[in-house]
Parts: sequence; C-alpha cells; structure tokens
Amino acid sequence: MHLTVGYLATPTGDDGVALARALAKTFGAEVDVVLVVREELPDGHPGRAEYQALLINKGEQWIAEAVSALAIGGVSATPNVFVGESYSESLMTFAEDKASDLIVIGGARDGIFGGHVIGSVAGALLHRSPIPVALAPRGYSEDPPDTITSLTAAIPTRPGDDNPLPFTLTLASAAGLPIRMITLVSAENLAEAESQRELRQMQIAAAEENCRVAARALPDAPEIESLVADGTTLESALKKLNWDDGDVLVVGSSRVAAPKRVFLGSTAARILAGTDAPVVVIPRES
Amino acid sequence: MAITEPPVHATGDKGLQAGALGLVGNMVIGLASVAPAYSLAATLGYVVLAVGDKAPSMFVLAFIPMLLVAFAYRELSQDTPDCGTTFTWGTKAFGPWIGWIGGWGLAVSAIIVLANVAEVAAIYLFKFLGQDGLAESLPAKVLLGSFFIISMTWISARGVVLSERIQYVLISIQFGVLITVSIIALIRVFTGTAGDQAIMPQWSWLWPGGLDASSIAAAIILCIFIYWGWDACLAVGEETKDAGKTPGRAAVLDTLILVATYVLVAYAVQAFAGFSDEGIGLNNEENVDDVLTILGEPVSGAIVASLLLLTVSISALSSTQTTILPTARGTLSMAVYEAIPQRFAAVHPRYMTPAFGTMVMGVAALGFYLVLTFVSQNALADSIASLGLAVAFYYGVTAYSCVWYFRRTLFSSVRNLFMRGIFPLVGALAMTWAFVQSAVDMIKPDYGYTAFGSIGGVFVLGVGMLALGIPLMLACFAFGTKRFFRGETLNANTEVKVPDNY
Repeated sequence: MHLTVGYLATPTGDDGVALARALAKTFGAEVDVVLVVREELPDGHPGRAEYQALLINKGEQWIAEAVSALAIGGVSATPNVFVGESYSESLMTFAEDKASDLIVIGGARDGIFGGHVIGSVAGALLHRSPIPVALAPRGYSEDPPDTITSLTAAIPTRPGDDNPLPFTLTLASAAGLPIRMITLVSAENLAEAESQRELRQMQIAAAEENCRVAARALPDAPEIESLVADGTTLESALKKLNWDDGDVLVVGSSRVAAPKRVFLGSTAARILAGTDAPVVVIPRES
Repeated sequence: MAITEPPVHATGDKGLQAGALGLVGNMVIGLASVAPAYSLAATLGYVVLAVGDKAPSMFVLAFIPMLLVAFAYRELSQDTPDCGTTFTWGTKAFGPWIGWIGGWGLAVSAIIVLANVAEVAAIYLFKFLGQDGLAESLPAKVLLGSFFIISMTWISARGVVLSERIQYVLISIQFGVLITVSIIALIRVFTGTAGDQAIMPQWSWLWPGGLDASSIAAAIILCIFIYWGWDACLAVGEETKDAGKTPGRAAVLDTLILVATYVLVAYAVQAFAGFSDEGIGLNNEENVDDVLTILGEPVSGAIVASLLLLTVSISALSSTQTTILPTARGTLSMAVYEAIPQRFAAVHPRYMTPAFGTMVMGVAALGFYLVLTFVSQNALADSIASLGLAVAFYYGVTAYSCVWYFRRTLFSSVRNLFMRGIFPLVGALAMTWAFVQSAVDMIKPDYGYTAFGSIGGVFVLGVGMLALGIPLMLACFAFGTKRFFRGETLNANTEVKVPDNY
C-alpha cells in the first residue's frame, strides 16, 4: 500500500500528516510526502529566480518537519518538493505516477470557520481525483490515534449512488479491521413516505438491505454492525452517531462522477461537514 | 530533528527555468511594468505645466538617464542576482548604512506609488461611471482609494498574479487606445476640424532650448515616473529563452515603442488642446491633472472617452502587481540579512508570498494616502513629484553602487568601462542633479500645491519620507541583532545565492 500525503506547513497540513501516520501504521503503507511551492512567474523585476530558490528551500524545511513528525510515530516517509501552478494537479499527477492507493490531506480550510469546511486543494481533489482521497478533520493532529481501529461505510439510500462497501471490505481485510455500516434516514425523505410509520419501515428495510449486500459481497463476512441513524435532517441524524478516535468513515462518489473519478455528491458533502472522523471518498466504479 | 532522507528536488520541466520568456513576453513585461496609460494620465499635465510646449523634448531627454541607470541594473543583476536588489548591491558596494537606506528608498517608492494608484484609479473609475461629482468629493475618493489599496494588498499577499496573456491584452488595449486617440487628434488638427483652440505641431517642441535648470529638473523628476519600471526587461535576463540577445532586443523595442508613443501623445495633446487658459487648453488650471482624458470626448466622442478613462483606471490597478510583490521580496531579503525585524522574512505557508512584508507595505501606503489626501491640496501632483524623488534616489544609489562595486574590473575591457563605469556614473550624476535641483526648488513654499509654513509640501512628503528612513534604520540598529550593521551577514565578499542560511 502506498500513501501520497499532500502537505502545507499549516494546522490543516499537520492534520493530514497525523491521519497519514495512523493509516501508515495500520496498513504498513509506504509514504511519500508532497509539498508544492508556488511557481513565481516572471514579473520584470530582478530576484525572481532567487525568490523561487528560496521558496524551494523553505519548502524543504517545512517538509522536513512533516517527515520528522511521521518518523516520531515510527513511519518513514520520502519528502518531495515540487514547483507547480496547481497544488491539486501536482498531487494527483504524483499519486498516479506512484500508483498510490490513497491521497491523504487535511481537509479543512485554514481559518476561523468550519470543521470539514473544505479547503481549496481538498475541494479540487474531491471533484476529480482518480485515486481515493482521505481527509483529516480540523484539529485531528491535536490528539491523533495511534492506529485506525475500525472502518465505517456510509451506505447510500438512493439507488445509483456509489456503494463504498466493497472498497471498505478490501481495506478492512488488509488490516483485519472491524466494519460497521451506517444508513442515514432523515425526514427529508418524507416526500417519498406517506407517514411516520412508513418512514420507519423504509429505514428498517434499508438497514436490512445493507446487511444483505454485505453478506452477498463477502459470504464469510467478519462481524458487520449495521446502524440506522434517523433524524429530521441529515445533520441531526449524523449527530446520533458516535465516533471512536480510531474510526474512519468511507463514502462513495456521486452518480454524476465520471467513471473512476472522485466526485463528492451533495449528501456526501453534508456527511463530511457533520462528521468529526476522517473521511475517505472513493472514486466511482466504472 | 530526525530527517530520514535528504529532500529531493523534483522540479522537472516546471523548475526554475519554467517561465522562460520569448521576445514578446519580455517586451510585455517591460511595458506592463511601466503602465503607460496611467503614467501619462498622471504626469503629462504637470510636465506641460513645468516646461510648456517642450514636453515632448522632456520625454526624450529624461529617457537618457533612465537608460544609463538601466545598464547598472543589468550588470548588477547578472553578476549578483538577489531579491534585495538596491539594498544588496548598495550594501556590497558601500556598506550596511547606505545599503539600508537604498532599500528604504525602494520601499518608499512602492508605498507612494500605491497611494498614487489608489487616487488615480478611484478618480478615473468614478469618471468612467459618469459620477463626476463623486470624483471631486474627498470622502468618496478616499473611501474608494482606500478600498483599492486594501484589496490590491490583499490580492498581492494571496499571491494572485495576472497571467502573461492577460497582461498582453491589457498592454495592447493601452497602446491601442492611446495611439488611436492621438492619431485621430492629429488628423483633425491637420485637416482643420479640431476647433479654434488647436495649433499646428512644431518641430521645436522636440528641442529643450530656452528652459531653465529648475524646469528641466522638475520635468525629469516627473518623467522618471513615466519610464519607471522600463529597466525591468533588461534586468530579467535569467528567465529569457535566449538570454544573450532577447533582453537587449526587447529593451530596444520597448524603448522605441514607449518614447514614440509618449512623444506622439504629447504632440497630439498639445496640438489639439492648444495652450489657452480656457476650455480644454493646457494652461487651464482645471485640466492639469487630467489632460489625457479631457481630450477623449472632443476628439472622438463619448465612447472613446470612457474607454480612455477605463484604460487608465485598469492600467493603474494592474501596475500595482509589478510594484508590491517585488518590493516585498526586497524587504524579505533585508530581513533575511537581519537588517530589519525577522517577521519580514516569513513566507506564508499557504500562499507562499512574503505576506507580512506585503501587509506592512499596504498599511504604510494606506497611512501615507490618508495623510496625503487630508493635508495636500493636490494629492495627485504632490505624490507624483515625491515619488520621482524616491525613485531618483534609489536609482542613484544603484548606479553609484554599480560603479564602485565593479571598480577593480572597470579597465579590464572597453565594454566594462562603459557598461559598468561611464554609463552608470553619468546616469547616477544625472539622477543626483535632478534630485538635488528638485529638492532645492521644492523646499520653496510656492512649489507644487501645498505648503507647510515656509516649506513646500512636496519637499516635506518626498524628502520627509526618505529621511524617515534614518530613525527607522537607527531603531533597527538599536533593537536588532546588529549583525547586519557590523557587516557580518552581508558584505562585499558574501556569496549571494539563496540568502537563507544566516
């Protein structure tokens, strides 16, 4: 397994490194840390090239901190400093070249607002990466778990949305992790339901369907816990879920995603915003 | 700190040579740094005020010292490339104190020009929108101007830059509009449809005869501003595809384009508007700060007139890009050598710009702008004249540094003698003369539009801003590490490559 970690010397960047460390320890993955420094375009003043060299130098100092943070956790990583116009573009190209299994970044926007309010780099990755993207929530680096202890797959309620369960099963089997499945049902689905009773019925049906899918995918499935969270809104349903420190949530891409690309749908985006756990968004199957 | 492996440069084809420029790119950068429409709009009226119908001759004459100083820039930036420019070179040639003040001169120019850009962009934008009342109103102007300073600083700190393509478009529009309007004006003068105020162009406008030293010095200080930035295309050899030939050719072509356009516009304006003190006449006090656009409507109608206004406004705003970031890199370099507080050496981890230095410059410019607009009777005129002083000052420091820095190798070849010795020296002497002569004239209370008691306002603003550097330098000496001022971090023998290890 190979992880590509996109790093910036910001609190968000540290969150990504903390998640990468836990993932690498859990899965015994190889880690490449990538830092992209801004490309200084000629502006007609002497000293531009020297400033570019200084930026690269600065980038090397910054990335050395990330590498040593990983080393303290017992994970050895290779630093890579690039000059590029687009952070996300450089990151995707690098990850594809390395046949990386996962791109890991801090997902939050640096600034005062929002937990999983998506930063610009994360935003770009979440709408076209060919490789699964793992996002660390804000503040993840303050108290990170040593390893990942369980995976949670968010099962879509609408047909046509991508099912993350197969990917989750593969990932979990790589480290023998327990899996749980969640289905979120909110009163927002009421349009489809005649009454409260019918809604409740739908929820149960959904949960049962989840179990059947899981069973079909893996006949000798490990212990899979199936949860149904309900609330008037998606957000209130999410609040009812408990997250352990070592949890990671896996969500699928939207039905509008290009094949083999990540595209964060609107529901997934709301799940992301309301979750304190790291989230892995996987590309749509072809 | 445990570092498992040394960091790898994977710069590839996107590396240091990425921005290699061809001839056109080189020219565009040189022209964009000059911002011709904005420069002309802001200065032409005052040049005419200083030298009457000899304005075209001043545009030609003022170019010569600029050219000579540009040689110094090229020689120094090829021998000792560094983001500190004047600061680094001045320090290496004359020691820390002169170098520090040279760097300060550069920062002062950026601060003043930001204030001036804000003023010009605000006035022209209001006029473009047909809000002439707002353009005259001090609070409206100050509000929009301050907004421009804050947003331009913010954009620069975020590292948002115009692409080469957009600069190309902007430059083409500027020259297109300026040249078209001038040619229409001249055609109407020659065909006699320009009106009674028009006069026939004279060859004598090109010859600076019969002017006294003060007028010439005043005009040259103004003209330094309209050519300011032109040296850019000579100095950026390192990023050009054919570094041996391209910058030189680009510089020559830029020169021809600039001088020809400026002279053409000056001829057109003078011939069409005449020198009457009424109507659109150039000696009408009301027209002085805006002779360029006053012509727009009489010459070719309302649409062209508003296009001209918009061009000037955009030209002004886009010129900040070539001013703020390089200057912030300069202060970054000063901080790296411990000449100013360490905070200025910080690079923003996300935007990868010297954000702190940029912000400080923006705040200083805002402060200067507010002081300027509230104490000065004519902020535009006073800021241009004081800007000319600051630019002449640091250009002078640079040119003297060139001569002194290369003093041991001057006689090793004829080329060196001229490029590193005679040309920069003559340029430096011309800058010194223009600076001293103007400063002496500016001290008189009747110079410019503002006076503080018995001292001219321009002198207080221009020389005052430069002199403010002395207490600031002493403060840096008193409270800083002193290593720079003892010559430990940067001296004549320091190898400046990546100034990062001090």
